[in-house]
Amino acid sequence: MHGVSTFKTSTKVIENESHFLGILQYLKTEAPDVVVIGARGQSKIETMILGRISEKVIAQAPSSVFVVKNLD
Amino acid sequence: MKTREKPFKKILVGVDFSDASKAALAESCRLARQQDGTLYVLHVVDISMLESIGKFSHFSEPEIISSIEERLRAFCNEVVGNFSEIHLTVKTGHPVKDFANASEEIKPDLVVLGAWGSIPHSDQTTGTTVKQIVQECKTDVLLMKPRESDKFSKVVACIDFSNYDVPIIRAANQLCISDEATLEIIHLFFPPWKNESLLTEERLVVSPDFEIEYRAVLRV
Repeated sequence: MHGVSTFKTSTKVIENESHFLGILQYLKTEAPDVVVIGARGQSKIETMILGRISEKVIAQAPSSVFVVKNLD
Repeated sequence: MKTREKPFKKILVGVDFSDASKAALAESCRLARQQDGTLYVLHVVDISMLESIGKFSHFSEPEIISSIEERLRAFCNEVVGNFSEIHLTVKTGHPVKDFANASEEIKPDLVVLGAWGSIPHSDQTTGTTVKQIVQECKTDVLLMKPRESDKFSKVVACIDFSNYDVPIIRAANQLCISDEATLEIIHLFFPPWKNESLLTEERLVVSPDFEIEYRAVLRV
């Protein structure tokens, strides 16, 4: 898994009709200290500075948010 | 590739003296100590606010700026203690534009901000200025909310099979390592057979086992 060296790691696939609500619900239930998201998602629209889902997560996440902008 | 190629050596943190920016400064200092990094603390005095104060106060602008610099020093001393690798700057201008300009000059590995400003929304959602700074900055941004623990115990990484996935996992891993935090990698999935835009006469015809096969691939 891309060389993850963290102590404990798990993966989950979550079904939800809204990506944003699915993430928000998960964050409310699991209460992590921080959520890491990409500035943009699968959208290929280069002019979009922040993806719609990222923007909503930034606005409403109950936890701290780490926004990955640098792809290097 | 166990961690980010570029650890958080240079951290730019925005301070507006709010509780959230106190959390941002404390976390920045913690990361800088862990990674032998340097902190750049910036407070931007809104020029329009400064002009308004100037009209109704007997203090000159240099006196006001000097008093804000003193307040910033005291704020940093209280939060980071004797950490020496720290540079304090007070700028006058537009909070979003001038913060972004400073970020361009310093070229930090990470920008850290409080998730909301000195006037938090009643529902504690992220403030408008903060959102605009996230949009303007070209580097990774950590938005901190005040919390009880000074360590991370759980980090969630959201992936969507885009080219952000690897840097997302690297960054999450970087945040987890020092604290031995748990990393949860999640992917949100919306079944295509529930997508109403596909429910047309021209939609793909799938076998009865399609849903079972699809879920098996995703291990839902």
